[in-house]
Amino acid sequence: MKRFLAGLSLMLFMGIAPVMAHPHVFINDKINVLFDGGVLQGISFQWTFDDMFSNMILADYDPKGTGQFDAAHVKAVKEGAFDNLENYHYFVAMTVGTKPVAHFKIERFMPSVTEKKKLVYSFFIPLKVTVEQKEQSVRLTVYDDTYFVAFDLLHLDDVTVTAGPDVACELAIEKTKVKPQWPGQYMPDQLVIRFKESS
Amino acid sequence: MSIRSVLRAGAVQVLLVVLACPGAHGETGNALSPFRASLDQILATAPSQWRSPSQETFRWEMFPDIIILDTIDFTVQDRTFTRIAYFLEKRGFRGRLLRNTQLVGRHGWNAHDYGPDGLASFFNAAEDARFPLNAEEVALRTLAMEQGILSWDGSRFQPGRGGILGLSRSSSPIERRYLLTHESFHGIFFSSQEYRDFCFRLWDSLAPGEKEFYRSFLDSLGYDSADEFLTVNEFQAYLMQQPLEYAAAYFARFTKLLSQNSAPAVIDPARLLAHARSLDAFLQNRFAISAGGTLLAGSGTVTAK
Repeated sequence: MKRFLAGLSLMLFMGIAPVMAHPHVFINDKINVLFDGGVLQGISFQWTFDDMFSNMILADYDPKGTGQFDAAHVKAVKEGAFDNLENYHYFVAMTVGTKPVAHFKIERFMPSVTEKKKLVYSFFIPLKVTVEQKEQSVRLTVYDDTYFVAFDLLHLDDVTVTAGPDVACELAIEKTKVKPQWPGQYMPDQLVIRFKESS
Repeated sequence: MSIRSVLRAGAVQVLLVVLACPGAHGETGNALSPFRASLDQILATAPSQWRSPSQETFRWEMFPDIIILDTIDFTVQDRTFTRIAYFLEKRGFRGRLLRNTQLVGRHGWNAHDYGPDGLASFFNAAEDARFPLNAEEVALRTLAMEQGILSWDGSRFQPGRGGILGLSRSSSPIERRYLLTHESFHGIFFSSQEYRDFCFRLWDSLAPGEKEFYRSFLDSLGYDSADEFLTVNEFQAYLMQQPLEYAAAYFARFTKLLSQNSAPAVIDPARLLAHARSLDAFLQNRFAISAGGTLLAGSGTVTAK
């Protein structure tokens, strides 16, 4: 009877199978905030991918498993498996003060491989914000609004600051104001960088 | 058979279907007769090789009743599938036929899968309401009728067999690999009664806590886990969308994130892996397909229908 009912249920509902957005790729994110010469020069990111994505990309771009990327390989990975992220704003929603940063220029893209064979992308987003006496802030949420990629929880331990004694910088993790696009979508917290000239 | 002759043959079929189908209001759409191809061939077939600039239609060679519509971008995909997605799937919209003005700014999904009952339900509702469908939806209906996914009994669209998967070139090549792998397991589920029966038997054998884990997982993604057919279909697709060695890690990492929103149910990773192994063993024995491996399965030459 149970099988009959299962079969009946199957006949009645066959075909109504929703496709919801859900992440396929997971990224652990490390961030470095770089000040130099009284200027917030920019923010560097280090994304460590999950095993499956790492294996997929490395099978394509490092089939011999050397873990090394020469200039030609870096170019190939960038063009084949990174540049497309421009369409997704490189998964970074950022405001300087209250002004959203509409376009990013990416610098210093570099793929690498960890000892555990995980793929890592490193890149830098220049900002060039002059540090002033009054406090300024940068807020950033790293997330994929298509929910194809999910970023791990961001902790303060994941963020470092490189700054001279001329800059006072405080970091905080706060609830993001970015609204989720998909049912049940997990939204990472936002990183808030508050900075001013040292007194 | 040349593409030109395939098109001529297809046009005759379309005309016959339309003449037999009062519900079509004389609209045929422009359904292309599917090319038989493996999944990796579908991914590798550049739009420049397509017969239409906006889309190409394929038949999965391993499961010939599964049709795959590859569209040039999300715009075409949305005009084809988004109203159906809202009608069948979107919580709060199910059973409603949204007008195009109501669909503005609503992107359905990045990939789609629909079986015979869902499509029959949608097109019957549209017929009952004499709802003006997009040309792409009319073409989809024609395609579904040509391929036996739907039939017309003189008064209603009736579900046939097989199903339709949708994919778009707006997704990156890497995304397309992931998306088509996931959708292809829905395709197997639609196509194979044997596999569906096996999935239901496995589901019935789960401990209550294990079912609760999977239901909780699907609920957190917006699925309606009260629908058992849907739940079993997604249960198998999520377990099979990646090679076995990654299955437990996928669920563990995902549920860790979801725990930020609510306390998720838990499962012994060994049991989860056992469930994945059972499905994998069935697919290996029956179809020589392994978990996460549909793109590698079957790679004959692309041929016309």
